[in-house]
Amino acid sequence: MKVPINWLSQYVELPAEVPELTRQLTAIGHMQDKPPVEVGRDVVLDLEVRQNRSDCLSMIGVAREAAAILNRPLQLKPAEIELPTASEVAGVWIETEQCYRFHSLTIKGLKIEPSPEWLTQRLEAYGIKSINNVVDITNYVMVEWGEPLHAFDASKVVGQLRARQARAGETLTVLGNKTITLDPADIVIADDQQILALGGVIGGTAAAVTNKTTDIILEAATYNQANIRRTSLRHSLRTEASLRHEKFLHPELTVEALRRAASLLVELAGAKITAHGDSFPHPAAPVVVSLNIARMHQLNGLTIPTAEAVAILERLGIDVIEQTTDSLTVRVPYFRTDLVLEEDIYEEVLRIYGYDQVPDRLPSTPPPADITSALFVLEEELRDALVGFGWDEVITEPLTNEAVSVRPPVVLQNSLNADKTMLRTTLRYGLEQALAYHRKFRKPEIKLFEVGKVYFMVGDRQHEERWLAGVMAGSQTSFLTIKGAVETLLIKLGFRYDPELVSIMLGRDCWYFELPEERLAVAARDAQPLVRTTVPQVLFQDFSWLLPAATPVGEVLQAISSLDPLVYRVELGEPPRHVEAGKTVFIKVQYHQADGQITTEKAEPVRQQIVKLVAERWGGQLR
Amino acid sequence: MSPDVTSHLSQAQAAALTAVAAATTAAQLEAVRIEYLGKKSPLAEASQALKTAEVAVKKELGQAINAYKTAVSDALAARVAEVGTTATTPDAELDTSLPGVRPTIGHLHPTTVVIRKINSFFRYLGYSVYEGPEIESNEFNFEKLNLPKDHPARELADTLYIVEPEVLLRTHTSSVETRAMTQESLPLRIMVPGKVYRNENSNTTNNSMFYQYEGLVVDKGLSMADLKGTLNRFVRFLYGDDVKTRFRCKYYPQVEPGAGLDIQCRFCHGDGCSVCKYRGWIEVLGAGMVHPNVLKACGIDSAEYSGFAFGLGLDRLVMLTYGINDIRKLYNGELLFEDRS
Repeated sequence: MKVPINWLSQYVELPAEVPELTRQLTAIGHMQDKPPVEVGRDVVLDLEVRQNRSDCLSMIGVAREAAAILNRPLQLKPAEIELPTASEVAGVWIETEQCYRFHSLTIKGLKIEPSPEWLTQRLEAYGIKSINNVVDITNYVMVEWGEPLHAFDASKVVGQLRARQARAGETLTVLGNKTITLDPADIVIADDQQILALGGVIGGTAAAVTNKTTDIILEAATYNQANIRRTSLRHSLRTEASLRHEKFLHPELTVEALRRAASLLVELAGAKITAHGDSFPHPAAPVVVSLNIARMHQLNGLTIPTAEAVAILERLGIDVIEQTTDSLTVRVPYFRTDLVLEEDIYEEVLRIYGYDQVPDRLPSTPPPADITSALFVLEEELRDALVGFGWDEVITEPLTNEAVSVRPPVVLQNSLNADKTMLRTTLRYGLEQALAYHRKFRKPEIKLFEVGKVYFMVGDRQHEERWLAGVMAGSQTSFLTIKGAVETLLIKLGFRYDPELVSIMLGRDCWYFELPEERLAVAARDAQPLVRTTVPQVLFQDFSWLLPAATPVGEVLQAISSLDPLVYRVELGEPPRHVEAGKTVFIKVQYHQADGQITTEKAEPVRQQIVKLVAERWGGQLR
Repeated sequence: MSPDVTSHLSQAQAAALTAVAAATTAAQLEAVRIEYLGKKSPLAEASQALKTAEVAVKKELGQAINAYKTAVSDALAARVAEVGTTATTPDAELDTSLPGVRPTIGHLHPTTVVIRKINSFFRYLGYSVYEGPEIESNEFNFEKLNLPKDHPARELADTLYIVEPEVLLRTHTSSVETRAMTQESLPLRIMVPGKVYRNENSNTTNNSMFYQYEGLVVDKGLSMADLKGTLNRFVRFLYGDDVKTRFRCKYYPQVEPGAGLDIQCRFCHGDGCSVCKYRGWIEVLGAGMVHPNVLKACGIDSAEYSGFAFGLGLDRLVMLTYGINDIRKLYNGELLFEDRS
């Protein structure tokens, strides 16, 4: 909201320094958005108005706030004007539930003229160009009171005005000569023959005020704010009117706004008010809230003397209608549509009393049980271990557009971006892309990992899973180096390498691995390494076999390892060598006896079993 | 033949041990190693002999070879260690000024580093890390947060929908808080770091995916004072003890009363500059007492319990910490770590 200081000072005496005013307004919830700018002889503030404060999209609303925080009176003279008695017939019919009130004045004998200087200066300081006295007055009252007004040239209105839903296919040419096709959800103002305005957003050209206009119908309406917001978005029409109507404007607001406009039109355009129409099907009683004083003190964290709290509420225009030692009952003024619950009133008292007065404490209750998930802890361990082994962590965006998905993907309905139409089904592509960029850095070896989620459909349900994945590239990188890296990672964390758990595949100029963390988290795990206090006494034996070329040597090692408790360690002595008859495999076995001295004699039966096993299962011949 | 080999080996072993003991430099030790363990050493000869040895002596010879190897290697290793640390004269052949053979250094992603740093603070205050799904329901992301359909604040969050309006990508980590309040027992003290999503085109300051960090405490008797004290300590932890803070009123639909915490701009010390948009202050945290409608929607009796919540965007903090000026670089794999050497 743009707030010209001179204009604001008509309603409340302001501090001499502008920064002091913005400081005070910021403290009570209206933060300075852009820095103040000079326009003509005025200085204009820019305040960020939060979603719930439609009243602060008006000069008077801001003035009320300033008066409350500065504790100075609000100088607001009621408009001095006699209006004819309101009649529903004289006004506009409401034919849609989306319009809450339609309030109008019929005004005759206008002289269209330029506006006086004070008016054009204020409007221009706010940012609206002066057009003529009638249009300027409607704009001025909108900015002053926050209620948009619209003037129709009465001579161009045929029959009865009404607020109704648009019909499919109807069109409207709006000010600025843009023609829009209406949606049945839009609200329009129409007469017996045609549509004259898009309700709450913008007027049409058909009954626009011109220099020849002498009689007008001046309307002030309120609508369902969500409906106006959607209409405004649908037609990309953001106007000063829609900006206000898309927040909740109280129907009472039309009364003050029309009185003010009428008095200005009489004064500045020589007009006469001839009829007063008011269609207001469901008037609501003022909001009354009861609040518990002790609870207010408790929640606000400080005790504000009740007399002071009452004074603050009165400064805000909130009437205290009943007071006991432990409760207050207050009546909320119509323009404060944001105040509904007692907590809302607590905040009112606190923000004027001062958030800076709240003491600085910490919760005094003991901390509750730790509910950090085991999976989160595991992820942290994986990160630490990999970083320790020289891997770099990357985080890539899950929104993507995969050419090939490894699972049925979760697709977005409304993405703005053609590159981000779905959620990733694998971490691989993001890592490969990161790798491609890292290659430019010319490191001899690149090792990147990501801890993140993949997303996919399971039947008609969306599903997300936490994965660890990595890529490795470099002249020394091979299947066995990446497998070894994952094996070491898992061993470090106390897991066993399980080919069912870990997938390793050849990626784009790299090796890629991935493993599902949820499954890892439930895998068997040794919490800590075995810590010995003496060097284990071992017996070495070397075996050299000739095995068929296709023999899976890892399985041979594994089988020997689990053959007997005396087998302590089984290692490959050298890489298997392919020869004509198959391959030669040199395996070193260590024996150890946990509860005694290992000897060749004790190991002998095991040695025989090993030889037998390898011979029978894989056809291995000792060399 | 083999007894000869075996006895030769034991003589060689004695000679080797003597030579090891006599050596005083790394180079001499290397020469000893080549002589006694290298390709033409007695060990190599014995190993060769082993291949053709008769089965009867094979075992004995094998054991002798192992014994030799172990004894000589161990003595050599021990002496190498001694010479390396006690040598008083510089070794002619070892240039100790050469850079060492370095293992590679791994790095955590900057966002992870910042999350961990903040976690460590709240961990100390007894908070648990709590997590929730990124594919979220309308109920937890909006409805339970006092953001019913048509609430104007929903407009702020340009939501990415999977099945409109029920299934969406969470627009804030507050959805995890409604889950915690609905599912966990009270009292509750949680921190929620995580990815969130918005339907917007990316540029240097906005990305369709980014990180938020929120905190929530639900307990008996909590107040704005507990919130203020928590936030002040947190901000001092992040920015240093000399940071100046401002606690002010601010509207968020999920809280009442609502609050914002600003720090004084460290570039202009409050005078106003381009960094702070000429405000003199920089917004750091949004916060407030959990709105009674939110408590109620999560099945919590607001007469018995109250809560406070706070949140901040992480990315700006990460970017500031590491001097990164484009948020997209954080999450497109284009961060390169260069260790200072």
